[in-house]
Amino acid sequence: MDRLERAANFAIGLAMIACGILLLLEPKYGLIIVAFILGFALLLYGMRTLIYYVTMARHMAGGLSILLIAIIAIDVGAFALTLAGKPRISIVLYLVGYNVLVGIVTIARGIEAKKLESRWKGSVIHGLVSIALAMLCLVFIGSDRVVMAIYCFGLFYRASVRIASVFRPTEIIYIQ
Amino acid sequence: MERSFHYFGTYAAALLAGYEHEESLEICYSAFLVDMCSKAFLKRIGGPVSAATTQLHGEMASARTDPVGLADITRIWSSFHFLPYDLYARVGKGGRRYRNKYRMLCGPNGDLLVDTVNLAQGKGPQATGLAMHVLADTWAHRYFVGTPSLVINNTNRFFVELLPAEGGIDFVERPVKFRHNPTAPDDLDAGIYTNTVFQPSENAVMNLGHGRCGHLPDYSFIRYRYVPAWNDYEEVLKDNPAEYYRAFCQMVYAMKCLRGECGPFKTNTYDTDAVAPYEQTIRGILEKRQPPEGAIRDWRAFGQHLSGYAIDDFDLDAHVQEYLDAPADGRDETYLGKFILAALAQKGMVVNRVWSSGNPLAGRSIDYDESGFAGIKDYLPLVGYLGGGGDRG
Repeated sequence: MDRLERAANFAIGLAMIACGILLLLEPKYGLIIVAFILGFALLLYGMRTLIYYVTMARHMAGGLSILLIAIIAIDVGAFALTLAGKPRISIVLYLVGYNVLVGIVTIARGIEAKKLESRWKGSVIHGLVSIALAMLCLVFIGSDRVVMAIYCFGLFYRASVRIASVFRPTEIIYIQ
Repeated sequence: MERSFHYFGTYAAALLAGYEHEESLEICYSAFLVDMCSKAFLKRIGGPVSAATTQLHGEMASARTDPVGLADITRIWSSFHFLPYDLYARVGKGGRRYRNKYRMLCGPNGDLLVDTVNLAQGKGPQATGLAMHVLADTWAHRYFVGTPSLVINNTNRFFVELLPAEGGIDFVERPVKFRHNPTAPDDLDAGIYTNTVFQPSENAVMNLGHGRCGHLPDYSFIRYRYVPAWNDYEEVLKDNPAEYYRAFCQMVYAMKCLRGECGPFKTNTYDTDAVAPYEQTIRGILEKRQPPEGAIRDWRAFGQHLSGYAIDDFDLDAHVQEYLDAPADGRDETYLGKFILAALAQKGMVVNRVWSSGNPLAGRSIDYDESGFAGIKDYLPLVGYLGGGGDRG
């Protein structure tokens, strides 16, 4: 990362934390805002895929499938935006899907490390916490405050990782 | 390539290059350690994680795919398993991002291979073995890149295997069937192989290296035709038995260069003379359609026949205790310590070449002679190892 990328990552990390605090203070409006962001993110993904097709994937054998995916994603994204009026369902679906996936992958990494007699407990605990968060979402599906707290927990975690990465050296030294 | 070639095959090549049994064992151990030295292993022994030469499935599945995470993946896989062939290749299509990915295509006899072998000069069996792993993989993994890329590494349904026709020299074609169950072994008889799931995301780890065509590039016996994503719908023929044989002859030549017997290493040079007396045996092993255990058995028997000594199985823990028992300032003198230094040097060199070509995929590289020491601290011991830096050291 160069200085500009580090500064940008730091600023984004701080903005994520600020957003998290605001959402916690105003969970009712927060739900609508987050649902809108998730729908918009899908729409954005579709548009990015379209650009990816134009700049890269059209040169690839079978690249037309990327164009189709882009069109479908834009369509689904536009549909998801209409669900912003029923925010809790879309957020819970997102949180459950995301946390279960992270949980499975992280536990698998821990099991692999255990086979090598390496450090594994951290990964397994991380994975179990992710799955527990997904379960909490389902149990407290009726509570705006709990759903928003779980979403913000993830937001704070990702913000911390992003900010921590700013201070980690990433350059490789070359010695002739 | 698999353990059979990287471990037992490298052992045989080292013997033919003139090394003694013990030296050959040290070389082939290092050659296969490249496939085992993950971050998890390095954490376990308290070594620097920057020296990782491979990633476990779990490490890959949870790897970040932002620019920093991608650079970490690329440093490992491009430096040790998919050495780029031409970092300045003319591409003629796509934009800068496409060009950067295309230029990471792995292939044999590139300039970076010369740098890799030269880097191992005078650095002992650990560096020699590591360089031989890189060299051998340039043959097995050609046409793929060591960074996640859908537009380069993807394959499609046009994938056929060429099987020797009964009693003749011709081949018959059989469509390859792929499935995605990672726990199911490949069915060599039915031609059913495991590959990664199609992921329509450019940087998904499923699109790293040859994942989209499974283990096929690692089987020495296989011949196949397919349409790679990057080749304008032109098909490519991969003749592994022939290419593995070349890899073997090139390893013998490269190790003779490292022993100071053949001058500086040059590309497109193969020591076919030294291998000629054993050509039939080696080609027989390479062409035999069998699971990995069978290839291990045959290569081991060949190596034992050459040296007259028994060859132990690869044991990941063989040198761990020596490393753990060494004082902190003496670890670099142990077997694993020297391997770690060789790995850091190789990674530093490849990242520097990629960065210098204007390609950011492997991350930033800082020239020690110009800027002094900055960046990841794990690379600090290289100052002594490579003898660089002049009065900075």
